[in-house]
Amino acid sequence: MNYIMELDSKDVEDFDFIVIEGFANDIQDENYKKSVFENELSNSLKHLNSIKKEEAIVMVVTTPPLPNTKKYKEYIDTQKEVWAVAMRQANNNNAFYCSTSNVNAHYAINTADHPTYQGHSNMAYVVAQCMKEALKKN
Amino acid sequence: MEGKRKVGRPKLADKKLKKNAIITIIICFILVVTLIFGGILTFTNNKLSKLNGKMPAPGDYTPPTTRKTTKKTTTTKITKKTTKKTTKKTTKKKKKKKKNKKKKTTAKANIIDDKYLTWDEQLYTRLKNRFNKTKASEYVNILMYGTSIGVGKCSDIIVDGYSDKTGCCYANSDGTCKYRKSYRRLPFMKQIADFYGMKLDNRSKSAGVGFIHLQKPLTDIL
Repeated sequence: MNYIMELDSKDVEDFDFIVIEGFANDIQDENYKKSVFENELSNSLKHLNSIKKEEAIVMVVTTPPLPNTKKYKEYIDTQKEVWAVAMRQANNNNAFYCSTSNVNAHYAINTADHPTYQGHSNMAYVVAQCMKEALKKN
Repeated sequence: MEGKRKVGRPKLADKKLKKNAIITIIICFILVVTLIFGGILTFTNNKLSKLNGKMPAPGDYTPPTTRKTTKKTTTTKITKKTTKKTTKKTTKKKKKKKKNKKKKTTAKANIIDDKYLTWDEQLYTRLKNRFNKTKASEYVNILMYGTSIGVGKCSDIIVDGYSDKTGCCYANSDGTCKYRKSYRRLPFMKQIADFYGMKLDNRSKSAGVGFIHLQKPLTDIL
């Protein structure tokens, strides 16, 4: 399941921003190993870099599940591994990594002051903030 | 002789009186005729101007008479009552509408914090240099890609997976159903699309994976 490989150059060349979800859900399955995820993300980003003609800003975004939920308690450890992978692959492929969960991200967004932005549903806010920060850094 | 004189004097006075009366009648007749002719002329002029498609002069316009004035006094009481009721209803509706509007604004305020989404000139110049953008209203293309969009076969509701015959599923790497979910929550792609007021692009090429293409002015995004 190489997500970006499904796109051809016509799809990608006109974009200014390319936002990739951190695929945190997939790693919850035991059969779906962290190494598989890392390979897929790495290949996707490499392929994206090879086909994009304009200098699009590529962003990898991850958010944690809502705190004090069953999902949060069960999967927080595995998700931490996923976020670390996202960080590493973003660094290797000139992508900008934004996260509300990973303090080491290129842009760590603190949503503690914004209860409405926490959890999976805060992605819109995270993406908007990430775009601003990515422009600053580039 | 005296008798003759007595008889002749009133005849002369009568003649003068008659003359005066005839003159006044003639004057009155002329006035009446001129008024009638004048009226006819103005009426015909108005008609002709209407036929020619010319708008009448602003002073010539007479507003159409309302039903209230033509109605009899006995019916006016009833109509007044009904009109009062309707006016009350309309005022209530207006008030309700205003309340709803207020609610909407508060809901927006909860989602979007103006402090974080204000326009930044410095950022715009950076983007302008980077992408050769010339106007602030220039559209920015954003591709968002991920599993959460999951538009594969759940066409009615966007969910975190795809739909097979039994329900919505999370996808395995080969596209088969990983596990089913009875609940449906809004995926982040849908959230983002709603956030920017955009519809999702359903060009998902594999089950459980999708991407959306947003095209918005930069000023709306940052």
